[in-house]
Amino acid sequence: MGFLVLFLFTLPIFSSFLMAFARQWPARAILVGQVALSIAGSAALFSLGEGDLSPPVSFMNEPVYFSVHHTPLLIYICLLFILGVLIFVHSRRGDNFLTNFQAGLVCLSLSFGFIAFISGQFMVRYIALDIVGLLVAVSLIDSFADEGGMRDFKFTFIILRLGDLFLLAAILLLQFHSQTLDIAAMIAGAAELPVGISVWAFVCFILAVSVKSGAPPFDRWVRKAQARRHPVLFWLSGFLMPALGYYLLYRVLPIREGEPLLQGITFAFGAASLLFNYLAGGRKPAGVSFARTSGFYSALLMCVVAFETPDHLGWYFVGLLLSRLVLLLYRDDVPVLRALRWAFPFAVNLIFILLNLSAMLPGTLAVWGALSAVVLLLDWRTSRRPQPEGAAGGNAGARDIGNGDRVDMVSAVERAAGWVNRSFEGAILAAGFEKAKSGVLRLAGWLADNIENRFDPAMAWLGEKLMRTSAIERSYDRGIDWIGEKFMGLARGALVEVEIRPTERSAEAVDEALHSLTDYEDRTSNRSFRRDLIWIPLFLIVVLLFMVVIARG
Amino acid sequence: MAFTQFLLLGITVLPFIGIVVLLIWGKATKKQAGTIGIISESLALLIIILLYPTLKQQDAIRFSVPWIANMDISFSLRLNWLSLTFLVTEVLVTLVAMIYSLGEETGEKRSNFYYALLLLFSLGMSGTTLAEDVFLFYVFWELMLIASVLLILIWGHGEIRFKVSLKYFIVTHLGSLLVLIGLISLYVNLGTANVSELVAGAKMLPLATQRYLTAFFLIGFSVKMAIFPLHIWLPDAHTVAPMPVTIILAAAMLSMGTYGILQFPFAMFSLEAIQPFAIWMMIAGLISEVYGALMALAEKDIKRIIAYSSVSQMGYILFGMGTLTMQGMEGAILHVVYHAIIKALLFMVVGVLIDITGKRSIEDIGGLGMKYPILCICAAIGVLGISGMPPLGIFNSEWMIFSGGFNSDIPVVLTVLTLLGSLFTVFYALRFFGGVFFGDRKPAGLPAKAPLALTIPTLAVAVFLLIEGVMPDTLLDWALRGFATIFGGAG
Repeated sequence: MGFLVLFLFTLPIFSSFLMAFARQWPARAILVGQVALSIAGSAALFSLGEGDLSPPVSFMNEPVYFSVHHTPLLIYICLLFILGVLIFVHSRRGDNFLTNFQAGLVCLSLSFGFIAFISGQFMVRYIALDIVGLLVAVSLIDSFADEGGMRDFKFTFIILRLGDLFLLAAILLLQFHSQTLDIAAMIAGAAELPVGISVWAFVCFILAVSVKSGAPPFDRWVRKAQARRHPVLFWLSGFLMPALGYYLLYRVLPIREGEPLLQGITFAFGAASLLFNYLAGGRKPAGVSFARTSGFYSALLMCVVAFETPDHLGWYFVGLLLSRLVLLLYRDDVPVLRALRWAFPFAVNLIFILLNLSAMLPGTLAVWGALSAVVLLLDWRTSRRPQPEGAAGGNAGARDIGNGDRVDMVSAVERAAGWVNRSFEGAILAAGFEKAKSGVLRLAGWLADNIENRFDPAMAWLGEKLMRTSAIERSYDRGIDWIGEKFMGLARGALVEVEIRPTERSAEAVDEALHSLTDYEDRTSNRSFRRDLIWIPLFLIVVLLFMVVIARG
Repeated sequence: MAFTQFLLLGITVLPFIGIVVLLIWGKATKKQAGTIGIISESLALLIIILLYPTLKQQDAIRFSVPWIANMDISFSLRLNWLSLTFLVTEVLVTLVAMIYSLGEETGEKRSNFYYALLLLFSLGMSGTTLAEDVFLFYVFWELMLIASVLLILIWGHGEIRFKVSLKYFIVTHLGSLLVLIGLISLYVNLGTANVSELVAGAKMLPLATQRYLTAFFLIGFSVKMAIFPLHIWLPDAHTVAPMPVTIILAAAMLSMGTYGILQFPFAMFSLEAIQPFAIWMMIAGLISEVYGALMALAEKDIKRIIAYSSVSQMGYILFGMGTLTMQGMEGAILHVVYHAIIKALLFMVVGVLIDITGKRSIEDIGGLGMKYPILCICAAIGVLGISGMPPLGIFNSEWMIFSGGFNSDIPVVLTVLTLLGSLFTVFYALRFFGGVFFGDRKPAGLPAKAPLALTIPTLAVAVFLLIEGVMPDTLLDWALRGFATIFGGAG
């Protein structure tokens, strides 16, 4: 089992390197070979049964483990089958095939998609989902000169990144309480969370699922991808990413078991998405819109799983993915596809009913029955409308053909649809990203003009005020001047009184003394022996003798 | 004295010897001067590698000789797990910047002074992380500032460099003065300048004293981190400085503020004293994150775009520290390292772009992806890395920072806002990448190939980032031990 997991992860990476460096090798052959080997490997893994793998690997001190279960493997095999069908169909049609770079992207996504499906640890799953999101966004770029592709890349990457951030928030909220990244343990531990935390975490999960599965109104990136891409490359955006979204929902569903609030939230999200999809698409040109119809499926799925955990959900996912395939391949001139387009969803849902009847899930069935009937009815109604020129097939886009010329606005629902189309879908979502982007840019520009660029003038102004014009500074200068003057006066006085005058006086005194001494010297130096002073030594001798006598007693 | 202690001294002495040699050797060509600088820095790195096994055994290596004996001030160095992370980051970044500078035009004249100052800059940062004496810390701290100011003043671009270097000096020095007040207060209150003794004694200080000292340190170090609105020195200094200096400023010097916060208020004071500042740190981090990203979005000069992204990234680090949780702190330390690598990479890419096009406005550059694919790949790795794409490093640190946010006592909404605010990073990063490498606005007269001397170091850093992102366990271990050093008193 471990070997097969390693094989399914590393082989596509090897193939992508082969395509990157061995340009002479045909991309189609390598990709077909890769898909065949992946199907064989996945089938072999499927046949080995279910189990958990704990390889001796860790990332950021968190052990990495894989949960090899039938449901993710089933979805993965279905995805591989769809990819094979897309390659086959477009080979038959003689369309240009992918470049080596594009085929390499598909191979890489096979590898990381596989890891995202079987990872039993949330961080690894998050990383794999992030990388697949990047590959989806990169697949929208044709060349370095393709500015439109770059715009779509930015849009898709940012939307998917937003979904990833919601997912990250949810994971970290759960990890805080469970202190593990083991998905099963985190989900099981969620039951003991405070309601506030579990609601936040669950809402974040639902938002992440909505983004990844392309549920309205987070489906614009799917539309952009469909409008631009080669169908084989569109597999990334139209199949792999939504399937990963479905499976993420499947894994986190147990959180809301027995929690009416969370069940209500799930249903509300699904219903709002469904309603939005209808209202937004209700006045669009008729015909098959892959993004819109698959958006219906994603929204419907959320409503269906809101209340109870239906068994056999994996098969239902497979059915939804195959329905998407039929939708993508649908062409008016192929009768089989025309029939399949209607029959297939019915068949999928019918099987689902039959499977669930054994489990006796009346609530789910009621919701499913009612909503799928509504969806199909609305879809049928939409498709009956006249089609404007140039809007046949493919992506219906966000154009409003309304103006009341083709569609009778007889019902309140249709009026609401018209309003949503004009004001919300058209005005906000169609140009929403550009508007949001320009809004952010305007805000950034305003901040730059009004805060950032004013720092320097403000500092200069402040400095000027402080240094030149402020009263404090002037007073300070005056004070300093006054103190300086006083000190100077004092110093001058002191200098005169203490230094200069005494010096002059002492100099005079010294001069005088020196002068007196000189005079005395002059007077005495020329004299002969002074007999008149002989008495002084004689007197001293007498005194000495007297003292000697006294001393002897 | 053990051999390892002498080795520790070598981390500061070897660059110093390099400086002396360069100052004496006035006639050294740029290549010769660069070689001296690179050898000095490589030897310092080698010493760190040699010390690593001992550090694993002992948790700290010390060297101390008396300096001003009657004031109880000594030349004390200490290598522990917290300083190791910052030291390795700084030495590696300086080494890369020196290698990169050989391929570009800066420092052609007075090369010996140029490389001597680069070494002095590095010495200041190494000393800051190693100093175990607060006065020594401050000396190295200011040495770092003086060297960088001189580098901008002498080799900066345009006449504006005089004004910019003065602004950089005044603003960061104001922050340094607050730090100095804090250091002197600690010295006066506890009667020692030894960091380990201060760590042991500071918790005994009255709570009010601890709190006002925390405020001083936080504001002072936040200036170095360039947290909004104390970031006003950064965009100009990063833009005007020659590219190797910009790389060191953005990738290494900003982290010194983080080190200061972790080493002083966090390691010294009680949790009770720091707690009231936690929410303000997180709010300031959030504002800085979003504001820096918005400025990067509004900016047209490619060098300033990356400069503003530093303001944004420092916001994450402050936020992580503000969580006061193990994950948040570890995330902040990891973010320092990853940010350093990514910022070095992005500035190197910008340097090559400016070198080959001669232009700096994003409106004048475009469509370079096909012509310079290796540069485009390096830029893509940097841009995706800074956007938090796994497994490119910053994903790992952001994961831990946000995890710390959810684990903290602060309202969850603040963490959710910071998490969603990271989307702005994607906006400006993609704008930069798309604007430069896509479209058809290719400037005329481009060289056939990007200069290899610049491209090879850039590619090396990109590969290093990939490796560090995929195998983060060693760094994580360092961050964990660094956290233990801060709160467990280890080392």
